[in-house]
Amino acid sequence: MDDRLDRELKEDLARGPLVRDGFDERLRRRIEERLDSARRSPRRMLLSAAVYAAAGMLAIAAVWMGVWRFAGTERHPADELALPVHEQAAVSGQGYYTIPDRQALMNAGIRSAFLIGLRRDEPNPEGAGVISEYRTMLIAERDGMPQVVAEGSGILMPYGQEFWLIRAVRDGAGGQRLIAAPAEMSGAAGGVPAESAGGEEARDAASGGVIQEQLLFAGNRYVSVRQVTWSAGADLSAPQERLWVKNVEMLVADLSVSDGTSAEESNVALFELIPDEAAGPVGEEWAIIREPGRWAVRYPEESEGTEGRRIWRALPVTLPPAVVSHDRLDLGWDEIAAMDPLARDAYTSPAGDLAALVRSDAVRVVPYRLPDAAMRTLTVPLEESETIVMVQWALDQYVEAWKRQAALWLKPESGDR
Amino acid sequence: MLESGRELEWIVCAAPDDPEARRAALRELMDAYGRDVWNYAFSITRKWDMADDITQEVFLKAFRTLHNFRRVASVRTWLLTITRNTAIDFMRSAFLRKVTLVDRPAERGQLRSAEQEVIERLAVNETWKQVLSLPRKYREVLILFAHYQLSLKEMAEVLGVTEGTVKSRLFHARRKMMSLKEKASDG
Repeated sequence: MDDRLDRELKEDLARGPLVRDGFDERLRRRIEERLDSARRSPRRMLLSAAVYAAAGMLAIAAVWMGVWRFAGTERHPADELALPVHEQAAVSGQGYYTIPDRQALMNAGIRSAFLIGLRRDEPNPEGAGVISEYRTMLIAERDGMPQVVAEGSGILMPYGQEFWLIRAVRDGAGGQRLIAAPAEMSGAAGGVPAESAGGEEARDAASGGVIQEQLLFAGNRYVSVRQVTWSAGADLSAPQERLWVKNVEMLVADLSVSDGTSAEESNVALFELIPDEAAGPVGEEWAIIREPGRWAVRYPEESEGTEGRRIWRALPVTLPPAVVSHDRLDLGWDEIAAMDPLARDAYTSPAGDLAALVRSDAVRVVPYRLPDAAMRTLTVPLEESETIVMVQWALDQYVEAWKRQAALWLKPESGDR
Repeated sequence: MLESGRELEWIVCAAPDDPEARRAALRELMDAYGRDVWNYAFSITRKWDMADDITQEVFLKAFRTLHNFRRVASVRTWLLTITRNTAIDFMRSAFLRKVTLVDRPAERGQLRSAEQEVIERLAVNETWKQVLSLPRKYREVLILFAHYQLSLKEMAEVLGVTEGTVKSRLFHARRKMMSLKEKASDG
C-alpha cells in the first residue's frame, strides 16, 4: 500500500509544484544586483540592536566634537529638470546603484529625496461609500537628516520634466472624482480645482448617478484608480466597482465623459504595458496595488460560488520601469525587522541611502547607511486609514530642483469642506 | 552542473579571495539549484513573493559562506538546509506576521489569499495541490521524500530532527495523503 502510494507520489511530485518557473531570469538578475550592491556597500550595521545603538552613541560624540561635516546641497544649476529617477539615470549616464565605497558613503550624507503621496479614507458624510483626502510630502535632507521640506494637499506627481497635481473633487451629491493637470496650471482657469470645490460641472455629471474614485497608485505617468458607481435610481447597497490603470493625462478634467463603463472610460490595458504576459485579465480592468515591498498587479475574474462577485486575482509579474521606475528593496526583511519590528512595508532609495519603513501609524525615514542612523531617523505620523499611493525618488542635483518645485505647488488645502 | 561538492570546493579553494571566482561559483549554484531552492521555499511558505525573497537570501548567504562548505553534505542538502532555516526566519519575523494587503481591494473581503490563487491556478497537478494543503511538517517531509528524493539521513539533516522522527512524520503524511485522495475520488 505504502509502496504504491510512494510510487504515485514520486511520479506526481517529480516536477516542481507550479507550472511556472519561480526561479526565472528576473530573480537571478535581482540576486546578482543585490550581490553587486552588497559588495559596494559597507558591511551592514544593523545586525543587532546593540551594534546599532552603539554606533549611534559614537556618532553623538562625533557630532559633538564637530567631526561631522555635511557638504549640504550647494549646487543650483538653472537647467535642473524634475526628472523621475529612471529618466535621470538615462540623462546623467550614471546607474542607480553606483554606490561609493564605505568611507565615501559615510561622508556623503543623504543623496536622495522622495515625494510620498498619501490617501486617507473616511465614511462619506453625504451618503454611501467613502471619500478620500490626499496629501503629498517631500522628504529631503536638511541639517544632516531627512526632514519634511514641503507638504500640501493633493498628489504632486513628477511626470516627465514637469509636475502634475492630482486632486479629488467632491460634487456635493456624494460623489468624488480625481482630476489632474500640470501643477503650473493649478491656479489657472481649467486647472486643478481645490479638493472640496465641486462645481456646477461636477454636479451635472453626478446627476446620472454617483461616482466615487480613489487613487491606488501614482507613478511616472500612470495612475491606478478604483471607481465605484451607484447608478441613478439603483439600489444604493449594490454599487459597481471598477479598477482602471490610466495615463495621468486621462484624468484631465472632463467629467461629462465618463460614467464608469469600459466603453467610455479611457484607460491603459495591461497588455499595452506588458505585451508578453499571456496570463491576466480578459478585459481592460486591472489595478496596481501595494503589497509589502512591491507594487503588484491584480485583475478581476468572475468565479463560481461567489454569487456574481468578482475575485481580484494576483498576477505575479514585474511592472515595467515605465510604470514603476524603482521597485526594489535594498534591505532584506530581516534587516527591516531589526530596524523596526513594527514595519509592515518598506521602500528604499535607488542610491541605497534612505529607507522609508511603513508602520500602521507612521512612516520612519532612516538614513540606514550612516553610522548614526538611529539619531537621524525622521518619524512622520500617519493618520488612521492613511495609506501610501506614491513614492517617487530624486537623487543628487535633482533634489534641489524638486525642493523648489514642491515649495511652489504643495500648499495646505484651502476652501471649506 | 555541480554534481557534487567537489567542483564547488575546487572553485572556492582555487581562489578564495577572488571575487570573480566566488561569483562564478554562485552562478554555478544558481544554475544547478535555483529551481530546487525556490521550489522548496515556495513549498514551505506557499507564497510566491516570499519564495523570491527567501531564494535571494539563500544564495546571498551561500555566497557569504562558500568557504565554510565542506563535503560532509551534498551541495543540494546544504542549500536546502539554508533554505529551510531562512524560510522559518522569514515566517517568524515580526514583519511577516503583520503582512496584509494595504489597499482597498483587500479590505473588501472579496479576495482569496494570494497564495491560494497561485496554487489554484498554477499547481502542476492535484497531488501537488493536496500536498501543499497539508500542515507544514507533513508537506515538507513528503516533498523532501518524493520530489527531492532525499535519503532518510539527508531528510533528518535538512529538517534538523532524528531519522526516527522523519519516519514517523512520513507515516502520518502518507495517511493524510491517502485520506485526501479518497475524499477526492469520492467526489
